[in-house]
Amino acid sequence: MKFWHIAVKDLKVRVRDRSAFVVLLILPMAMIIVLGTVFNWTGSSFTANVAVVDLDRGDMAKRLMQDVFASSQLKDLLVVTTVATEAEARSLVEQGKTGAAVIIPAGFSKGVSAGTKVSIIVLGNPETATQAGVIRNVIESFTAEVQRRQLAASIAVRTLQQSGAVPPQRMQEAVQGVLDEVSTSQQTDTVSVTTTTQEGVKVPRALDYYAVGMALLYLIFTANTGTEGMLEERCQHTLSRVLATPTSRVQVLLGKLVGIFAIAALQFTMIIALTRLLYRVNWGASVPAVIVMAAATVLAGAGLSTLVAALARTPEQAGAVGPAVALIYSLLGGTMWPVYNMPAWMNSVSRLTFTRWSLEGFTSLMVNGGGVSSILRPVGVCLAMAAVFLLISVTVLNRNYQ
Amino acid sequence: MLVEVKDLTKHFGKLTAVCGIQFSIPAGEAFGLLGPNGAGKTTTVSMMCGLVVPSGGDVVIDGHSILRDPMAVRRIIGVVPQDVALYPTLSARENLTFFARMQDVPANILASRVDAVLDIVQLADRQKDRVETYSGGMKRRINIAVGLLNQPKLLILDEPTVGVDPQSRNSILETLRELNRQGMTLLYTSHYMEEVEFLCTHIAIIDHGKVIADGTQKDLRLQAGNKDIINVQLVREADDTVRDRLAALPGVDTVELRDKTVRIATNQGRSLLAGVISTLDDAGCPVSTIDVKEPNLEDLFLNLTGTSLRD
Repeated sequence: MKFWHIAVKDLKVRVRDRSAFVVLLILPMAMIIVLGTVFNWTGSSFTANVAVVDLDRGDMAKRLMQDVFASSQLKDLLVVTTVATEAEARSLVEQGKTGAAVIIPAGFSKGVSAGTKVSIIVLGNPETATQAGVIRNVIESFTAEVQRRQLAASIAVRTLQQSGAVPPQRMQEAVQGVLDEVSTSQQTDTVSVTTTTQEGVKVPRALDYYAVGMALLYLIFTANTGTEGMLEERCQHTLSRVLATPTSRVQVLLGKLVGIFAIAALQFTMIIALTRLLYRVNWGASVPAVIVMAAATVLAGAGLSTLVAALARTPEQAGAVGPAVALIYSLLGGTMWPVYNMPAWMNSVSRLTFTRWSLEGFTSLMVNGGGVSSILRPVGVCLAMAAVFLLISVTVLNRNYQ
Repeated sequence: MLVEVKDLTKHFGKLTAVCGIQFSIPAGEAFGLLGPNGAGKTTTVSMMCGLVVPSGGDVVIDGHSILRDPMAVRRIIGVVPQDVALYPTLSARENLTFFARMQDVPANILASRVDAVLDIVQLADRQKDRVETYSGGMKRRINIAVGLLNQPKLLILDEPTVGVDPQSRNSILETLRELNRQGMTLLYTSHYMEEVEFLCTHIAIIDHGKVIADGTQKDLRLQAGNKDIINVQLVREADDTVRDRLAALPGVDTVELRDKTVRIATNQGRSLLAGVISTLDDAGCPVSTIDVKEPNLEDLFLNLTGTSLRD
């Protein structure tokens, strides 16, 4: 239990150092809030306000209103206001009260059925160009769908007529069946929560990815303060004094490791909670899995810190080496830019860092929503790295006292 | 013997910091390791604590070899390092409690043990204050208190008064002498001859990693081979008659006369003072000032090495 007393003592020392307390706990929280504000990391993200005028009142207009503007998939993206006249819609756009307006002209549905050229008007102003662009894309998707259905119906009718498989009196019913099938198939294809890279690998939202990256970045720097703490002990000769008692070096290192672990775990938990609450970051569905991944990551970070402390002979050395190691781990580990955008060689090298494995574990939980069993590999690698770091640290510490 | 240091050697690369040191300390003794800075005192002490692995030789304390059973040795020794080794942002009590746990002091007596050592160093009233708020002398006293927590059979003190004001130094030395009187064995290293002379009954003088003299204070003074020197400053110049009368006094070896100064070498030191003053008065040469310089360890060190302890 001596390691526990060492860890508790370290926490006391750390808590009483107000500057360290601010750097370790307050600063990361403040940085996340600042960055979240700057990059508009809100859970609702982008929304477009749109005013819709239905001058058609036909089936196709109803379909546009129900299947598009009232769809569950677009409810977070679009805020729809129905207005009665085109003049009213134009006025709202001009006053900036809505980002865009959609005008469904009279005769739209009939025109579509007859296969004649029809158009939907999208109004916007320069100040709301982004919102108008989004609405335009939505409408274009709808019109493309309509065109597909028209084409499908045309082919279906022609084929059925030529084959004589369907009696003329049941032709309309058969065509509608084909159209429904086309529609269902299209909807299934477009329902997608995550995006897909060119290589076909699922990746999380940028917001989620950088939340993990930031948590790891702070973890590395927290681990670095652990390094400084150990060297402080060496400089103030308390480390030698402890080693002159019946306390083994393994117990001392374990105590240090637990102390760093506790601080880093607290910091990690706060970052997870804050990003979840403020920015609705998706850390995955399994709380135990998040805890296990975080614990393995923090252990590896604490192990790295212990190793740097053991290798550095002076605080000056640690002052130079610690931040360099932290920077390398941050850059290679993918905390600053996505690993899937790295060159191939860097992508391979990054697998030597625990941050990369941790990032993979967390992002896997985010996009796949698995449990502990789904992250055994990254957890295992992080734990193995922690063990190696600790083993080398003990060896170096023993050698230093020879 | 409580402590046996056998042919202890330590090499740091090509440098030999300690070269075949040998000495032993009986239980209850206050043993001094006297030597200039860089003589090898701290390296010797570090090997005795198991902090540095010897290149050769061994240290056996209460039957436990530091090489074979370092944990057993660490349980029966207390260590007071040269530097103040405390956590500055923790209070004295928190520091003592932490180190008591490291020393395996049982939990049920831990609080009373901390109280006891605070009483010994007379800092019970400041126990809740952070160590960083203490004066240098107070920090040194807590530094010593940590070494007492496990009620050690052997208390090793490595220059524990460095940088301490005279008042605090006296207080520390008195505390240590009292602990020794109560039966605690002390190993005290210092380059301050006066401290070692005040505290220690047995002394080893160390230089360049070797013990160059070893024995009781009396033995070492005899080894120095010096006479007491009586220096007399006269009111007026004396002549050869005065010198002859002084030389005729029993116990006087030599008398040197120069202007108003007389230098008398003798084995009898202070006991001869009355006779010298009386003789000079009778000769019509009243004494202005007089003092006796007895041979000390500094002289012995000078004789053996040709350099001063403080060089």
